[in-house]
Amino acid sequence: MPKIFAVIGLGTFGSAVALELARRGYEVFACDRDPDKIEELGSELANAVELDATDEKSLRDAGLDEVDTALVSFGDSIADSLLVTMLLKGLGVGEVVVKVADERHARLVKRIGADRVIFPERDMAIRLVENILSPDIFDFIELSEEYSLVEIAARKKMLGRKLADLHLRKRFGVNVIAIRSKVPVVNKKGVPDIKEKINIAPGAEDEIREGDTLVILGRDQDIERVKKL
Amino acid sequence: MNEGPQERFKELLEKAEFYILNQKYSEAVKILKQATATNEESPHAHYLYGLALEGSNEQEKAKQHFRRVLELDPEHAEAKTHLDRLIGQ
Repeated sequence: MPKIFAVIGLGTFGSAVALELARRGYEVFACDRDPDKIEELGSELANAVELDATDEKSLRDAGLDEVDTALVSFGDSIADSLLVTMLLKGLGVGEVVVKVADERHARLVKRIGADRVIFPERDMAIRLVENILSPDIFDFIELSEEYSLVEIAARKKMLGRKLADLHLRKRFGVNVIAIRSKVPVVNKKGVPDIKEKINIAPGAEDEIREGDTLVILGRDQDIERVKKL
Repeated sequence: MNEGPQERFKELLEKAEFYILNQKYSEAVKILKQATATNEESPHAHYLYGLALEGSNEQEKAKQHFRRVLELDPEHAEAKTHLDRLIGQ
């Protein structure tokens, strides 16, 4: 069954996420307590409603307990963000992603059970610096309307095989430009741990191992075919 | 020869560490499922389980086990580092 999403707080970030999910064909429940925002987005989002998300009953009545992943995106109130995160976890929402404003906010929401914390302004700033200093690798970069660079987890059927034997270029027209591996190590205390290693421009003889992530460059439609492997 | 549950548990953890250190994360996952069923309150077993799941790219399940480690041992630095990274901080 396709995932059901909720976006709570329809500021610039929240509404962009809701619209993008809807554009990709997902069911999105979007809410905000400001009726003007609902009116603004109502024509583009089928399920946009005016709602006070800090009220547990309203959340339950609106069917938020059916949601798989919820984004809590409040710009101004840390208190509301904490309360809504707690209520959503209480309702049994599988994954609660919270947009935070600063480190303190991040620490607090993590403590009350947020599954993922995002810090878009800080993250974008870091990405920008990395990008300015050296061309780096991201989860997803749209290079043009047709081409993208994506990171995908190695598929089960790739494991233990050499890159050359996968024939990704021949079969799908995509290039693997890097492999990120999770390499086991023993730390100073003698405890097993995992470190990440990046192999830029991997060779034909390099073997795909468990936990590897492939950084692939190609046309969007070809990348989609690789993802389905 | 009959093994006690303690010895059996210790053996399972040693086996799991062996698989993790040889980058056979999904094999380690199978062993750690048994280990945590035998002893649900061992922070080390949950830590190894979290690592093996993270190694298998099962991030969501890995988080659950790192969280369990911190419930059992709030000072567990490695679990905290992994959980923070998986949550995105």
